[in-house]
This record gives sequence, C-alpha cells and structure tokens, in this order.
Amino acid sequence: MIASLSEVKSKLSEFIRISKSKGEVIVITVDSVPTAELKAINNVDRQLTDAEVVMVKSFVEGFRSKLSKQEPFSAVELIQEGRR
Amino acid sequence: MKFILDASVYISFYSPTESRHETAKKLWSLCPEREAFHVPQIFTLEVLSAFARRQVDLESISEQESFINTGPKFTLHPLNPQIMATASTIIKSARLRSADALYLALTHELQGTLLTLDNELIHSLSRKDSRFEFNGLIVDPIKA
Repeated sequence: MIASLSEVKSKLSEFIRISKSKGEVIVITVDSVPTAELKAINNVDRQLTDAEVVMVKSFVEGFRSKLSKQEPFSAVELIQEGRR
Repeated sequence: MKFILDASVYISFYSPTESRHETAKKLWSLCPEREAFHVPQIFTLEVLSAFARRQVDLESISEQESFINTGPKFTLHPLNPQIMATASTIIKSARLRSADALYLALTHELQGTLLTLDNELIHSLSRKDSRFEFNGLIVDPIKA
C-alpha cells in the first residue's frame, strides 16, 4: 500500500491497524517520491476471530456457487500458462 | 506451522468443475481455519489473471482482489531482497520459472509447508541436478 505523508499523519492509527492485521508494508511518499516504510512487528501469526472465520466461509461458499456451472478445466495448466 | 498456498490450489478450491477440486479442498483444509495462508505478492495477480482468462465477471474478480489483499485469510509477503535472493538461487539450482521459484523461496524463508497441485513444482527440488538445500516442506497431494 502506498500513502502520502499527509495521509499517514492524519490516519496513523488506521494505517497501523492495516499493517498489523495484514502484515502489509505501507510505503510513505513525500512529494510523490517513495521515502519511508511503515510496518508492524511480529504480525504474521495472528489468529482469525470468530467473525472473520464466518466471513471467510461465507465468501468461499458464495464464490464457489458462482463458478459451479463452468466448463471442466485444469487449474495447474491455467496457472502454468500464466507463468510462461 | 505456516502454510504457503499456490495459486493452482486456490483456483481449483473455488471451482467445482476443476479436475482436482476435491484434492484442492483437502489441501486447503490442512491449514487451520483460524490461521492465514502465506503467499508471495504475485499471488493476487496470478489469481486475478486466471479468473479473468476463465471469463469470470469483473465484479467478482474485484471481490477476489479485495478478499485476498485486505481480508484476514491471507498474509501477503512483499518481494523483499531476501526472497528475491533466495528465488534467484533456486532458479539457478533447479532451473525453474520465476513465479515457481518465488513460492519455493517464501516457503524456504518461512520454513513452512507449500500446498500445490503442480507436480512439476512438487518434484522440482528433488531432481538430481538440484543443489538447493530446501528449508521447507511440500505436500504431495497424492499422499495428503
């Protein structure tokens, strides 16, 4: 994620929350030039909450039903094709 | 234990008509539901590209992008100098495609377990001429 210094100054708590929950590095720009990074420490092993587990399940089921009528295919071939 | 998810498993997991859908579901379930998958940043683009080429509608593709990039189930790892250096070593040792090497490099750096359906990737580091000392595990779906 990229954010300007003024954005980070005005929403620092929000950027820290994003970085902590997702392990995301925030690249801070000064005059549109990437200048510094903001990142949380030891955030990669956070456990999902009950609400997040439910959200993930719901998203998966909903999206799977959208793809249930597609023609048969091979995911490995599809991904390999993209990597060629 | 940290689980690294290959894009092939992700695509198959969502697609009931995919040839190894049930295996993908099995691999996905190896990661406890309260834990996030670890993926290299390139994962998002690979997934979006695969769905786009399968003619999935743009709104659904954007939902996927948001789910992966900002949802709780994925920890995206930037391609930092350490990952890039390891991937470079793997490419030279095992003669792999760049994206394949990035997944293996992340698995190596996290000392994690790679979940993939790609046989070529599974066996890449056990080839006779591979000289890379891999510091992770790769699940063989046949034995999962």
